[in-house]
Amino acid sequence: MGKFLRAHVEVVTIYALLVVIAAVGAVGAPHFLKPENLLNILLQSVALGLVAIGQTFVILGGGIDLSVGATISMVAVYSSGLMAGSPALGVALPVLLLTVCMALVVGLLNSQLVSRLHITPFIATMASGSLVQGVVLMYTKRPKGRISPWWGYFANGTFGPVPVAVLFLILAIVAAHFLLTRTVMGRYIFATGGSERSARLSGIRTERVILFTYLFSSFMAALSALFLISRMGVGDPQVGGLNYDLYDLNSIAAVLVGGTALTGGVGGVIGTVAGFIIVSLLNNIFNLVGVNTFYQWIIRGLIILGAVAVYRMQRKRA
Amino acid sequence: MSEYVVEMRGISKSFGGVRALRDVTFRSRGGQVHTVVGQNGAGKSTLMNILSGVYAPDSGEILLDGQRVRLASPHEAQRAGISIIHQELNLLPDLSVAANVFMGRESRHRFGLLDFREQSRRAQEVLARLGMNIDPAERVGNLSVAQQQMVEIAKALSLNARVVIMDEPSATLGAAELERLFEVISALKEHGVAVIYISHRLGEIFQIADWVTVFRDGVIVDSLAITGIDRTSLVRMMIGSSSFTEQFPPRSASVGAEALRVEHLSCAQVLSDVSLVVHTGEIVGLAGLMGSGRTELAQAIFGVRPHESGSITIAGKPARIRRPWSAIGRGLGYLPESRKEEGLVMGLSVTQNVALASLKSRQRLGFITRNAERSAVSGTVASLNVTTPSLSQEVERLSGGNQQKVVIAKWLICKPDLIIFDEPTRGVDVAAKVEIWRLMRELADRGAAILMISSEIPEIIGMSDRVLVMHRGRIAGELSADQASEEAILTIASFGGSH
Repeated sequence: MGKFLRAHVEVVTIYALLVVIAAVGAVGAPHFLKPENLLNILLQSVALGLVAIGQTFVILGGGIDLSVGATISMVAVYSSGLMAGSPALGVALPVLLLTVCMALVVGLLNSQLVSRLHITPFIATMASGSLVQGVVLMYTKRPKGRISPWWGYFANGTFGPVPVAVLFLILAIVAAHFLLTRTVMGRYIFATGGSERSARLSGIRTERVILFTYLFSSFMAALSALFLISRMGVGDPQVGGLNYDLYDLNSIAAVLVGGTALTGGVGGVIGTVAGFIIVSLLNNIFNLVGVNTFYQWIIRGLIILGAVAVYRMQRKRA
Repeated sequence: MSEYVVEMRGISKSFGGVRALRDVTFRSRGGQVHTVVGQNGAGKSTLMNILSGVYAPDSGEILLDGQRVRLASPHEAQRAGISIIHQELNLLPDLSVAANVFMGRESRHRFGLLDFREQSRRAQEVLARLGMNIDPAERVGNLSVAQQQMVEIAKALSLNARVVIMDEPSATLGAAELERLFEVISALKEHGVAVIYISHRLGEIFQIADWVTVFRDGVIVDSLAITGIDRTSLVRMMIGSSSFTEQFPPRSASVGAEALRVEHLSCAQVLSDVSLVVHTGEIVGLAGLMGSGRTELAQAIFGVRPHESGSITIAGKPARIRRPWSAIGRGLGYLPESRKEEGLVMGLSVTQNVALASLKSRQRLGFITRNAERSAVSGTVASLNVTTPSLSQEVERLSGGNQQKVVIAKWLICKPDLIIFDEPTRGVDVAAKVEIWRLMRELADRGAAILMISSEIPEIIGMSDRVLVMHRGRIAGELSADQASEEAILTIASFGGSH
C-alpha cells in the first residue's frame, strides 16, 4: 500500500485535496450532500471534463491547446443551426458528422502550425482559436437554430438514477486512460512530451504523435459542444467562452492541478479528473454558500498555485 | 615588479573524488602568446576556469603583476583584468557591437541616460586599436562568427584586460579568418596583454605560439618556448607512457560481409567526401578531435542530419534514409552522445525506456502486450546487469553507468544489424565500462557491425579491429589494429593526414 502511494504521489495528493474540499462543502454548505446537488456537480463536470481529457493529451505531448473554447462554440452553433430543429435522422446525423469533422480540421490545423511551421503551441492555438471564433461569429452573432428534439436525451436522459451524460463521461475517462497507459500511441505521447529529441532518435514519428494529440483534443471539444447543445437546446456562439477564460484556461487549470506537468511527459487522465471535479466542486460550494466573486477568484488562484507548487517540490526532491 | 603578468602557484582542485589538478604552477608573461595543450580531461579547462573566477582552487594562490588576488567570481576576475573568451561566445545577437562591448559599463549622460554617441566613439576606438573594420552600430547577430569573436576580443581589451584567455577560438574559423584572428592577437601582444590560447589544433599552435604548456592527467608535463619543441615530441608529451589499466575483451580474428558502405558523403560545412565500410563481426573505431565531424557522420548515417551528396548502402542494398525511423527499419541502431538529452526520456521508467524503440513489435491492435514487454525487458536488463530497485524505477534516478546500459538495452531488444555507439562509456564508472566493452564485443561476435565513436584513445585502441581518424570533416587516416597507437591516432587527428 505504501509503495502504491509513493509511486503515485501526485495523484494521491490531488484526490486528498478533493476530499478535503468536499468535506469543507459537506460541513459548510447547506444542501451540499443532497443527492440532487451531488448529481448536479457531476453533470456540471461533463462539459469541462470532456475538454480537459483532450487537453491532457495535448499537454502530455508537450503542447497546449487554446482553441478548444472556440471549437466548442463552432460545433455548437453549426450543429444547432444546421439541424434547425429537424427530428429527421437523415438530417441530424450528417450534421453531427460534419461538425465533428470541422472540429477535426481545427485539430489538423493546430498540429501543422506546431509541427511544420514550428510555431510555439501557445501562440499557434491562440491564433487558430481566434480564427475559429471569427468563423463562428460570421455565421451568427446570437444563438441560432435548434437541436433535433431527441438529441436532448444525451444531456438530460437518465439510466436509472444516473444521467446518461455522466455515464458517457465515465466511459470517456476510462477509454482515455486506457489509451494513454496501454497503447503504443499513449507511450509515444509520453515520450514525445518528455523528450522530443530522444523520442525521435528512438524512431518515433513525433509529427504523427502531435497530430494525434491535437485531433483528439479538438474531437473532445466537439463532444463537449454536442453535450452543451443537448442541455441548452440551442447553440450559442459564445458558449465556449470569448476570451479563452472559460473552457480554454479552465481545462488547462484542471490538467495542471491534476498533476500533469506543463512541459509534458508526466501526468495523466486520472489526475485531470480530480482537477475538473475540484473546479465543479468549488463552483458548486461557492454557489450554495454565496461566496463573494472576489473570494472565488482568490481561492481558485490559490488552489492552482498551491497544487502546482507542491508538484514542483515533489519532483525536485525526487 | 614581476616579469609575469599572471602566476598561478600550487593550484590543486578536486571535484567529488576526482583530482582535476594536482599542485599546478602556471605563469604567463605580458606580450606573449602562451598556448595550452592537452587531451580532454587533462586539466587545462579547469585551470582556466579557476583563473577566470568560475571555480575556487582547493589550494594554491594566484598573483597578478606580483600581487596576490582572490578571484571569487567571474565578475571579480573581470574587474581584476582577466578576460575569457569561451568557445560559445557570450554575445547578445540582437544588440549592436558597441552595446555588447560595453555591456554593463555603458556610457551615460549626466542624468544616467545612455549616451549612444559616446559609446559608439569609444567602441570605434577599441576596434581601431585592434585593426578591426567593424561598424559599431552593426547588429552582432548579422556578423560572421569570426567577426563576433573579434567583438569579444574588443570587449576584453576595453576592459583593460591584462590577461586574455581564448578557449578553442579556431574551432569555427576558416583559413582566412584564422589569419585575421592571428593579426588581432598580434595587436593584443603589442598592448602587453598576456594571451593564453587553448587549442587542440596543434598545427596552429606552431603558427601562433611563443610558449607552450602541456597538461596531462591534472599536472603540467612541461612548459617551454615553442622553438624548443617539434610536433612529434609535443604529441608524445601529451600522451605520456600509456599503461592500460583497463581490461578490454580480446579482439576477434574473423570479419564477415559488408554491413555498411558509405560513399562520398558530404554535409554542408561539417562533412566532406566521407567514405567508409563496416563489416559484420567488426568493431570500427572512429577517432578524432571534438568538432572533427564524427557525431555528424553518425547523425547523417542514422537519418538525423540530411546529407547533400553521397550514398549509403546497407547489407548490399542502397538505403535512402531521411529519418531515424527508416534507419531503424533498415536494421540500424544509434546510441547518441548525450544520453540525458537524446538517449533517454527522463520522466519514464526503465521498462518504458528500454521498450521505446521496439513497441511496434509487441503490440496487438495498438495495445501493448504487457507480458511480452515485461519478459523482453527484464531479460535484456538482466543480461546487462543493470542495477535498479525495480523495472518501474524512474530512469532519472539511476547512475550514469546504469542509464547508459538502459539505452544500450533499448537497442539490443531491436536486434540491429549495425549499431553506432557515440561515446559509449562517457561518464560511466569503471565496472560498467568493462561490462559495456564486453557487451560490444559479444554483439560483434554474434554478427552485428559496430561503429564506435570515442574521444578516449585507449578505448579506441583497445576495442577496435580497425581505426578511422577524422579531421575537419574528412577521414584523414585509417589504421589497422596493429598500427593504431596513441601517437599515430593523435597525430592524424591533430594535424590531418599529412604533416
